[in-house]
Amino acid sequence: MNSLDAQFAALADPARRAILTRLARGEATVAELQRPLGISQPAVSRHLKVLEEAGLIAQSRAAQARPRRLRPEGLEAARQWIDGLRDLWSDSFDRLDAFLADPAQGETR
Amino acid sequence: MTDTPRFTITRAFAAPRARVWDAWTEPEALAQWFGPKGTCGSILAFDFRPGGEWRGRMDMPDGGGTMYSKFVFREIEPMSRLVWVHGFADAEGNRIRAPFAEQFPLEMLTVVHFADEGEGTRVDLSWTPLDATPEEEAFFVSMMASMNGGWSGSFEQLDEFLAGG
Repeated sequence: MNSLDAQFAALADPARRAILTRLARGEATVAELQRPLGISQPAVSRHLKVLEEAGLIAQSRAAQARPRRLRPEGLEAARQWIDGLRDLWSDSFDRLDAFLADPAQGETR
Repeated sequence: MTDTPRFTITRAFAAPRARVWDAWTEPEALAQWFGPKGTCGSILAFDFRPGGEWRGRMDMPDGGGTMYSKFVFREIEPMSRLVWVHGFADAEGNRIRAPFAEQFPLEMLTVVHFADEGEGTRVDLSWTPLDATPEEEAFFVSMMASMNGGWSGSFEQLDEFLAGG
């Protein structure tokens, strides 16, 4: 469902990142999102669809204007991915330490 | 070329050098420790000779997705030194950019050095972007620097980081 590919593709666009940055401050309607971006309302709606399909935002159905809000949990996978690369060596060294300390591993040959 | 940033990490392991070397050069052992915490890694190919490829697959926790890597060995000095070109790949093993950030260097040179330290082994590892643009190098520095708990922006820290400890 919320595949990493969809998320990274969604995050690759500067307009969509601007939308996420705006929503990080609180929910907003399409009209409120459109104004500072200076792009057409259909263009904003297309961006919102991509973000929603990637699980990064959600829309509230309660109000007529259906404001969008950020889904912070949607970014969790992307965050894990980036942390994984940044921490590759410190994590691997921790794991290697445990691997070498494991008596079950014994001599590897 | 003179100011290419370098990320370094050093660790002393409580095991003799032969055992540490084996853990780095036998795929069955590597599969058990190489990779970020929480990931499940497997080794798809391991052609341990200069020019040979080490290809791996890594599954993120909680169905977070799959990534592939392809490393190409450059130098092998038994018990002493390993050098490989490090980068991401697609499932077929073709080199690709980091999926989340075009700015991450396409390839990095990994140099690992093994030395006796007391009863144990000291491992020094460095990561240097290969043929990267200044923008890619800057991205690499900002990303890897944050592993020490935040980027203060102090020049002293930057100097240390760029000097590679």
